[in-house]
Amino acid sequence: MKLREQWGFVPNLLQREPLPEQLASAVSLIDAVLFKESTVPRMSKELILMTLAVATGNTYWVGIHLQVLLLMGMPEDTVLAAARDFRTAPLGDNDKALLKFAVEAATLGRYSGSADERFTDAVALVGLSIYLNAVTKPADPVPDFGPWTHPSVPAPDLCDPSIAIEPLEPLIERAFTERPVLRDTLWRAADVALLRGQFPKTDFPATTGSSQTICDPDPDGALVASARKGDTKAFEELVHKHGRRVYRTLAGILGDQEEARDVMQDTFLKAFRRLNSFEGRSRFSTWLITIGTNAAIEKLRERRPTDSLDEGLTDGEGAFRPRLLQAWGDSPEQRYGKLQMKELVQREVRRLPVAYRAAVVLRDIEELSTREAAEVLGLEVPTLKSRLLRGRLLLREALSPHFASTSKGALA
Amino acid sequence: MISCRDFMDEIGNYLEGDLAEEVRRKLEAHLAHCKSCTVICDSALKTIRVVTESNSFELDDAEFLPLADKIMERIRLPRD
Repeated sequence: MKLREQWGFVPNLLQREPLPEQLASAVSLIDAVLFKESTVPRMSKELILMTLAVATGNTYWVGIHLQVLLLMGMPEDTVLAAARDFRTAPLGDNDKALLKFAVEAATLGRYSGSADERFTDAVALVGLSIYLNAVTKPADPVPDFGPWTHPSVPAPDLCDPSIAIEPLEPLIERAFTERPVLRDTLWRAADVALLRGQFPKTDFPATTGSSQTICDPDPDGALVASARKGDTKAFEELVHKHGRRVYRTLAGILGDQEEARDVMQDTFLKAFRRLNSFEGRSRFSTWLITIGTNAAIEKLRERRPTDSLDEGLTDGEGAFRPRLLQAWGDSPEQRYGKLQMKELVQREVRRLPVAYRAAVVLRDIEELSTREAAEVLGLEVPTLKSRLLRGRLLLREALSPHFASTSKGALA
Repeated sequence: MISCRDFMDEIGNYLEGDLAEEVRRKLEAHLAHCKSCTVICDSALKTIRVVTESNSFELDDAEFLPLADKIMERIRLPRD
């Protein structure tokens, strides 16, 4: 195993059999960012990771990298001094510059001074460090070495006004380009927002709350676990919790209340029967909505078997040009009563081609994130975005006659 | 300076609020002097708002609870 080869041991965290997906991704990332040769020497990289772990309070990884540095032959005094405060430790200027950059990037989301190509490596290491932080806490591994107490490291001082503060964005982009696996892994397992300027001061990154991330456990986790064991009361709670949402999605896609009711029942039955195959890779609610959405789309195909899901789609650039360029009034929702608005929206959503309709229902009515909606529909994010846009623009055209300032507001 | 065509290429991301700072500034600079794109953009944002706030396809309790009961009834039946 790569880890044993390179480090001489395998951390407890990564010894699980079989390795869960997030941890397997951690190993790939470690391999691509740390082990793979690049402009920054290997020992310096370990030093950076140790320092980042110290700065973000991740004692588990401090222990690991500290041990690796000792095994690589760095004198113990130097290693411990670096862990306490890299600025005063007996390290070379190159290392200090990189460490300063990395710690600033990780704790403040900015850096000062000039950056060269070694800094792209450092950005990748910061990304790795954030990712390792994210996967470590929930797993709560037993420390491999130690105990080791976390010294307090004062935050770097950027108060010197003569130092220009630079944004990290261009370096992040470059790191992503040079190390695609970094983008893939971080995208898949944690919000990219983490890296885009929301560097945490604590060891565990905040999430934007949208799609499931490692540090954001499924709120339905306990209920699902019980239901899996046959606890129908727990499943009933899930039905009550998510039933209206499922219905709403189905009614939006199918455009028919009766059918929506039927498909809703089938959806929950399927979900109950397939509980054991639910792996928890996404939230339970996302999985549930996916089952429902697939069932609805299948139902639509049954209705009109000669039509494909792509019926009504416009292809290519320039095939869709918005017309109806009258400005809308400020508060369109006040034009009509609630009931009329509801009916108007329902009617126009129903008229959209299915592929666009599904995107709009999931994103604008269910308010799933772009990524969740793409997941539910089994699409790549750019495809989902394109369908969503078309759907929204078509709706805009359909609603314009009702809300344009100069119209009398009569329902057609 | 960007064209209306360029603007429409990016409008999707603009509506999502998912743009790099630089791109957003360019788009807003275009909007500042282009009436048509402003109207499209503004009405598109309002469309999304109207759809989200319309409470469409909602079920009230009187409609939902019997459905929930029916589902649980089927689940508790021995497997057919």
